[in-house]
Amino acid sequence: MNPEAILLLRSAALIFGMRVVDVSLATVRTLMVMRGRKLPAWVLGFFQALVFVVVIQAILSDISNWLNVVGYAAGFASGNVVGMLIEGRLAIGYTHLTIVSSRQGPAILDGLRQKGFGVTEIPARGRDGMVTMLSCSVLRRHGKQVHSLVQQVDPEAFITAEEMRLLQHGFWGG
Amino acid sequence: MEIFLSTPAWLGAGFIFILRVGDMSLDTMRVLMVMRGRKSTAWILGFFQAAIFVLAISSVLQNLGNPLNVIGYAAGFATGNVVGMLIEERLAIGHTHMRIVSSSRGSAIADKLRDEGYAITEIPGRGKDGMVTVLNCSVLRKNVSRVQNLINEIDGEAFITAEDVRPVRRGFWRA
Repeated sequence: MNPEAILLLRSAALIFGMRVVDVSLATVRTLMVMRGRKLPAWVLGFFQALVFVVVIQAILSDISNWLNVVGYAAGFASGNVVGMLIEGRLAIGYTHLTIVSSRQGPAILDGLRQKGFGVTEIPARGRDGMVTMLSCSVLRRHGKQVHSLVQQVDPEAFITAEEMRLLQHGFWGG
Repeated sequence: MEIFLSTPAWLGAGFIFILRVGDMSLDTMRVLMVMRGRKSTAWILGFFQAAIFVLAISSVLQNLGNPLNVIGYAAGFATGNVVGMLIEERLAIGHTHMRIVSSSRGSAIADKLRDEGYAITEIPGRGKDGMVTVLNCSVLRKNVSRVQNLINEIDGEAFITAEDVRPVRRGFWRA
């Protein structure tokens, strides 16, 4: 490859890399904003904007290099996904799980309580008779663990999760 | 380094900072409005946010020799973001679903909240140490801390969680 092409590729790769950083910061920041965490939102926002200015300047100074444009767009898309992965790994916050089981309700309940999770059992009626509805608030990073515990006991159980805020108290197992 | 001593450079950076605080606080509020499905508010906020953004980014790009501009831009972005969150919390637009679990004082809490005009659904449940009451209560977001105080007057041990909801239809909303 001639040196000029290498130079073009390098600037495109640089733009791609910086865009991945700035957009993943932006994604994590948005999730912090949604949870009302102000200090992390400020810090992430500062560095995100700093990187963004450098990137936008690099691309606008040489807009004729279409590789730069592709790098910019691919960086944006990848950064978005990377941000989601980081956030999933951090798993900050709480989840409320609703578990509906037709027969294995008490067994699931015992399993979860043995692990220290707080569970409230609510009797309910489904199409084919009585079912057990379990209401269980857990730390978000325990969500998967609870999910597999429930699956072991009753693979048929219906599980939904929603994000919630804690106002006070509660038991958090793990 | 003489740029750090020049008044116009600081003024320019300060101007960019203020623009960015303005546009990011609008943007943060816009995102939170979008999450709550408020379309016309989101449109208006988006329009002004984008207009200010174009002004801010073009003044940074026109004058890249001044590193203060870049710092002002980034600090304005971060600060505007937090300002937007504060404004949004103050406005407290929307609805919240509160779930209260009380081991022995459930019906007393329900009576108290009903006296105050909130709508409560009582659900009997079983916890580790016997029967508990689960209370479902949807309130305006700005009333959440009042409801929490009312609950604590009766049962300081109650377990309370909250999640943002969109009202689908009707319901009783204490004014």
